[in-house]
Amino acid sequence: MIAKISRYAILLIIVASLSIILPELYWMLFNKPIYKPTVYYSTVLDDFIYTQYTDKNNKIYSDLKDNTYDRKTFETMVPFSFYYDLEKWGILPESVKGLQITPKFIRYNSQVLRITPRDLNTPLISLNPLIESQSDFARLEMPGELFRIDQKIEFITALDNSVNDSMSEIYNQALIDQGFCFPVKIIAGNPTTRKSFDEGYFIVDAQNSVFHLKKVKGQPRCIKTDIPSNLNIRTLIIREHSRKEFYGLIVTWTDEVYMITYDNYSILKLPTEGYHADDMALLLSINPLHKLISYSDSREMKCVLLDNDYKVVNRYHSSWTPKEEWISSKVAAILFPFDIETQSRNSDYKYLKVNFNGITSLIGILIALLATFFCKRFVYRDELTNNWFDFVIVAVSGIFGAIAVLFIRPEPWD
Amino acid sequence: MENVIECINLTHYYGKKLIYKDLNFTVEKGKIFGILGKNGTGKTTTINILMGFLRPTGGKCYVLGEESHNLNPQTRVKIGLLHEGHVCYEFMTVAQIEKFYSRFFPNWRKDLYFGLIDLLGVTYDHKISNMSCGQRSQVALGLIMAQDPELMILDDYSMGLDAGYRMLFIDYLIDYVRENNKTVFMTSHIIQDLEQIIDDTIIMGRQKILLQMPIKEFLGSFHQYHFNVNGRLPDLDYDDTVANWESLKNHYTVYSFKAEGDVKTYLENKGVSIKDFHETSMNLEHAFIGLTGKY
Amino acid sequence: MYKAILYKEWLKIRWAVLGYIIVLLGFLTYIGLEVRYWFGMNDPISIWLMVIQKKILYYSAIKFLPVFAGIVLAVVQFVPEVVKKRYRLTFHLPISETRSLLFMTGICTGILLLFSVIYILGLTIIGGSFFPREITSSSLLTVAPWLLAGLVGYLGTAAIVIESSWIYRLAYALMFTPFIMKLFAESGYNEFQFSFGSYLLVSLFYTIIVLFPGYRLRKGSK
Repeated sequence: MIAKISRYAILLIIVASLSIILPELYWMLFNKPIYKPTVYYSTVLDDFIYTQYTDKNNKIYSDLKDNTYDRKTFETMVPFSFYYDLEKWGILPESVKGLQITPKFIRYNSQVLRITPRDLNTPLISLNPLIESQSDFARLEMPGELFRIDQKIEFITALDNSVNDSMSEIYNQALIDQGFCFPVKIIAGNPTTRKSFDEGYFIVDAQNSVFHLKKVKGQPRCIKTDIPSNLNIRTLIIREHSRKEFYGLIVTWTDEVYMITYDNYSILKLPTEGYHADDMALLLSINPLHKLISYSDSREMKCVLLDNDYKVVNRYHSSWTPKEEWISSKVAAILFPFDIETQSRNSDYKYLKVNFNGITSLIGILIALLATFFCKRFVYRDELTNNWFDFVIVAVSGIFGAIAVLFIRPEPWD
Repeated sequence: MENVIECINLTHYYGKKLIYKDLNFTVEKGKIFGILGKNGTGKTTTINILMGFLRPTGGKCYVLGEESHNLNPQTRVKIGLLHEGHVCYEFMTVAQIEKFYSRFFPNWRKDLYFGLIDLLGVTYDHKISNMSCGQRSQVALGLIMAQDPELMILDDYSMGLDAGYRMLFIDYLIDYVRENNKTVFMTSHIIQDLEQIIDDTIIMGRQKILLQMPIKEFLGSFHQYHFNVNGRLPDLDYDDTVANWESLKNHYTVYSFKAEGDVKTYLENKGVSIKDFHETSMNLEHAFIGLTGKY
Repeated sequence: MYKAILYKEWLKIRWAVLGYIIVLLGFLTYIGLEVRYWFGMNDPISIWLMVIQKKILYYSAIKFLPVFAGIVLAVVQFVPEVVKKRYRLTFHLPISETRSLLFMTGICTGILLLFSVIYILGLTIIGGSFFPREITSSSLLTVAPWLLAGLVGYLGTAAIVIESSWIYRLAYALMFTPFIMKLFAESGYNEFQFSFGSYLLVSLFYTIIVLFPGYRLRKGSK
């Protein structure tokens, strides 16, 4: 009896392995790249304009009226994005839409901020450096300690791997003075020295209040912001920029995106209808005249153009045949009743997740059952009634189960 | 008499290849039973089934009243196995292996094991893998003797042994078996050794048993007759009288279970004129070849 | 009886066990010295940030040691049972095949767990001496799938060695490998944080897979 169960354990492992490996191999054969457009806003045409690969080595430059351009012409229509090329060619206009421009001006007034699903779904060790924000020196420097913050804030000196109690106490007190309530829910900052200044960290406390903590001349500066505590914040993406327009973005669990402005931390909701943080990459590109938000997943892309007052000026939407509607996907859905997903391009986490392929897989299951019955009855002449559970396995797992039970045959059990 | 082994309609195939069909035999308690047969007749298959390491395709094989391939662990205490090549846990020393086995058998007879080992003149920390084949056979025999089983199944004990160790082995075995009234089922490719030991035998031919009888009865009733003929003799049929025959030029040999007179009459009835008809005596090996043929 | 089997198994695996412990301690010492060297040569904070932000796993040198140990243990334990059909000796002992097989694999599972304790202890000591506790605990979470791979690798290899048919062996080898490979799929720390439980659950099935090939061996199936 236990030997029989042992065989089922082996069959189960084989089914699991096959449902990982076979779909992987299948898609290695039949997967095709999805060529998404890269969308710009042309100040010349006053309309969206895009580049897109049509196949591996063919890139088109086109506007929405299907006029195609060569690369050079295309770039001249998007001067804010390609100003460095235009300048090299000596054709950078002196003004765009009445705005005097220089490369320095464009660089100063441009910012690109990207949020990918992977950014949100990645494990992180919550130890952060608090960089001096008003240093006497031109460049930012890493401090000699990292801090952890959970039930309290603690600074750990790297030199001897010990807690700096006095420093911790000062910062702890600064937080408490502002009404900070431990434990911490979220901490977000931009811990790098490769930027021009540092804004420290935004910390969400136990009561969902957002605090801004930074180090000024070695001392804590902690501010309780007025960011509403009912936002249901998922994460904050902090990106310092010399323009000092906003600290960064808030992504909520309801997939809303807010900007934290320098105007006393007032927040501004971005028009990102249909944005889904777990599947979509969001790109915010800012140039002297516009802010372009584009977000896309494997089936569609949406772009919203805002002016400098954050008013919607224009929208763009493009969609393509989603992978689920490919013929190869439909064949896969018949062939495989399910697959086991162990990793995703939208996450750094590893899974062991079963994805069912829906009703069409019944066809594949039926074929697998018939094939199993035929083989067992007429080729192997195996004992069927004593091993009826083999058919249950095939009925549940289709081709995976059929391969398993036909390879690892039942014994004459005692 | 109680049957220790009972095989009923034993049938075995390897894939589609038939080894034998409907084999029936029994081994009585207290008997030493030998199974003889040329290569490929299924001796090893039978031993494997009896030892419980092969499930027969058809039929039943009972050892001590239980199906051999599904023996109760407690029943295994009563069965001693000597494996082909005297396989044992060679990574153990003489003392370690005794210590190991003694834990499993309630009637463990340490004295019998060390009695045999002491004859070898090896130290107790001697590793078995460093022993000669002959020495290892003594270890293996000592272990099953110490186990004190009711039934001993010995698979080709003589393999790899020189004459001295073979005799030593047999001397100890017979002494032990007779003294303790054990049942033994054995094979060997050295048939002349078996002649002095076994009570009962089955001789296996292709896909069937050629005979099963006590060995004394076999040697007493199986005859070898020689004669010469003039000219050519037509081929003889195998029947009740002629169990086997062979010829070299005009010299003929006939093997038969019939008496001299019957055979002579039988041949004359075939219209054969024979000269110099006489019987010669045979030992077991000779009789075995006579029955099964040289090829 | 079980003590006797334990004794027999120990005789087979003892050199592999001692050898592995030496190798493991050697690797742990190497990692410790290497990390110490990094700290000597660089600004300590940059090492910490390299581990946290670049997700460098300073202990990746011992990534495959547990699965290696598992495979070696299965081989030294079961190959002697299979060559010269020595399993016949074991299966004729007055103890049920199921119990003796599970006891035999249980012994090495226990030894692998002991190895894991040394492994974890080593990483804790290294982590504790050079890194904040968050990094140390993430190292333990990150190596958990590797340690699991050791157990699964052991049980899978044992089944493959015990199996009597080469076709089945090949099928087992092909089918046991993908799951084990997935346990090594990480590209940074803590990536199995949410799925390790599921992997552990599937691994539980590996604990009884030796019984089927054992049964086939016992009954002379080809």
